Amino acid sequence: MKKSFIIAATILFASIWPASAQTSCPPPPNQVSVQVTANTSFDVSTQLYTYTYTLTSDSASVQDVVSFIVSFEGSIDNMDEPRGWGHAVMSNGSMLHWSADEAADFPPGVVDQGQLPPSAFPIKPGTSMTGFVFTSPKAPGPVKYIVHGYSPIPPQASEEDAEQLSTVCGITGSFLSRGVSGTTMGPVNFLPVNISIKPPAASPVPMNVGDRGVTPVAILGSSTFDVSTVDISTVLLGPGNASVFGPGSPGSNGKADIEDVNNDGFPDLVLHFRSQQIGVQCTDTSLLLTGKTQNGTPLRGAQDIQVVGCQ
Amino acid sequence: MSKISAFLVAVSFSFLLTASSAAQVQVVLSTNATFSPVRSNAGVFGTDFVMPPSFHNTDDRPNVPLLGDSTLDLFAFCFDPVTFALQVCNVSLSIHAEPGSGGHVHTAGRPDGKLDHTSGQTTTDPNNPLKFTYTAPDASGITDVTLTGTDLNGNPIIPLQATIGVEIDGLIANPTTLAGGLLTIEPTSQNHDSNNIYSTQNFSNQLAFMAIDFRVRLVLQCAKAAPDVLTKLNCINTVTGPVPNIDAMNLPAGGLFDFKGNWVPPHHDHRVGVEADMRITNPNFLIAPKFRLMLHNAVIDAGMDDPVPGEDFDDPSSNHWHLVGLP
Repeated sequence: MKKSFIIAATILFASIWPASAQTSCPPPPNQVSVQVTANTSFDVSTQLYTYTYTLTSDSASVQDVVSFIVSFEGSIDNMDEPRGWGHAVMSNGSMLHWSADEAADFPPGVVDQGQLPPSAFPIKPGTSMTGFVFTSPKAPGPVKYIVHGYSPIPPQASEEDAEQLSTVCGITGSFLSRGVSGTTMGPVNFLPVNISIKPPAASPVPMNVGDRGVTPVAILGSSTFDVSTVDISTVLLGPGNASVFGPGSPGSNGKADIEDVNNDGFPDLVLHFRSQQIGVQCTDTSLLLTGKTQNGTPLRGAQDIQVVGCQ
Repeated sequence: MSKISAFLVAVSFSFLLTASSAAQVQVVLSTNATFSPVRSNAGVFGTDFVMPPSFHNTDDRPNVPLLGDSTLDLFAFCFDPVTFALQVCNVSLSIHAEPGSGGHVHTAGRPDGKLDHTSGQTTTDPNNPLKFTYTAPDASGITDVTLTGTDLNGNPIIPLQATIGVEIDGLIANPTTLAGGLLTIEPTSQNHDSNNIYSTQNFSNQLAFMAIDFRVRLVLQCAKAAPDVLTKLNCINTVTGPVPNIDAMNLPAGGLFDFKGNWVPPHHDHRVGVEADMRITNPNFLIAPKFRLMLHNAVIDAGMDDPVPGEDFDDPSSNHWHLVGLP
């Protein structure tokens, strides 16, 4: 199983990382454009899936990639990584964090004031790195990943300056949200489904942040998934957790449309969502749909998007 | 009328303080606008009243319960100790922060907080009691409150003493080591003795997680880089050296941690139990540059902010990382 996702960095960081007259803010660690490729294999003898990730940094990336985080559900084992990288399961227990741990020397002339050195083994723009590996008994489904570029925070001359910089430069808050995130494949506890946003649009599907209309999304049926089993009242879409609007929704008299939107011979479930409730952000690169079947089994699906209409 | 005595009445369900004179008008202070002769001890310092410190010039941190002034309304009631009928009295209120309280060992210039007014006349109208509003200082500690006055006949009432605990509750004292010695805590502030070792339990857990994560990453690097077992062991032995060290956290009840001893920030932060300074360039607790990426990633793994380095460029040994825990 292999799927590629291309993510684009937000270049307009200056508008969201304001600097005061006294404080020079470092760029956020999201000045990277990375393709994350997941390969999954299953070993019948061990009943374990092996997940292997390859990261390709676009030549347009401004920063070196030094951090790669993947969400997972259940337990994982046999973690491995490329030379010079390390790993740890984060304190939330549901994210594996690979990072380019082995340091290079400071550039000549740099005075050690407690700052971070560069990595000896980053993913440079225009290069790829593979070997990010773990095993899990859980089958693959869409999971979140986060990538960070190298953007060390400059040393501050005083306690006041350090505290000031944290606030003024927006460093206060989760480091994770300052990276570039997207969806890849990883171990999940739910039934993975394929979805089609604005069918038959191809990935990445254009999504306008200013859209005030209705967005159709099809949950795609297959030989192993009957879409009539979906409990429509549980379906949510996007970071805004938009619920189903119109036919099929709890407040509607009409039934959701079931049709074969991708002409594969299997019925698909077409649902509608208010575009504003979906809550697409300019940095989003995919949309996640969650829900349950009528017997309570969680299901999840995602598709790549391309956000337009951002200033 | 010559004999005057004082007593404090303690009852469990409200914050009230009572003083009395036998057969003479008695006075109480309460945070409730409704008269009741009740008192209780509460909070870190076992005071009569409890409130958080004010937060001025502070950063907008997670978990900061209050930004700006922290105020407490205190209602004064005079009453007949036999009939409990409300009486009219002329009273004055004064405040004074207790020296040495809150973990501070420096006293001169200590801020008392402030009252919106210092005198007034109590009423017999239960719906319109005399109210004083106290604004806490940024520093935590105990504020002593003294209420004096006379009844309408000019007879003095018993001076009433009460205490206000200005405090952030729920902080714990961290031991000198966490995570089995993988992290050490050695506070050195001259103005706070060894009292700046306090934090929330959650932040303490985050520090321990960080220390373990750091060590695991160190050992993993050795295991991966070394070509044979002997080299691996030698490598692991060498990486047992860098043990992160914390030199400043929070005072026992939070509040302003003014390490310069002037009762104003430099420490905007270090007030609510989710912050610490971790030494990086001090020769005795050096985290060499080659280990810093691992430590940085351990900080992130533990659920903290991206740490900001620095402190004093004229003192190369003083630079540290400013750690902030997230909820």
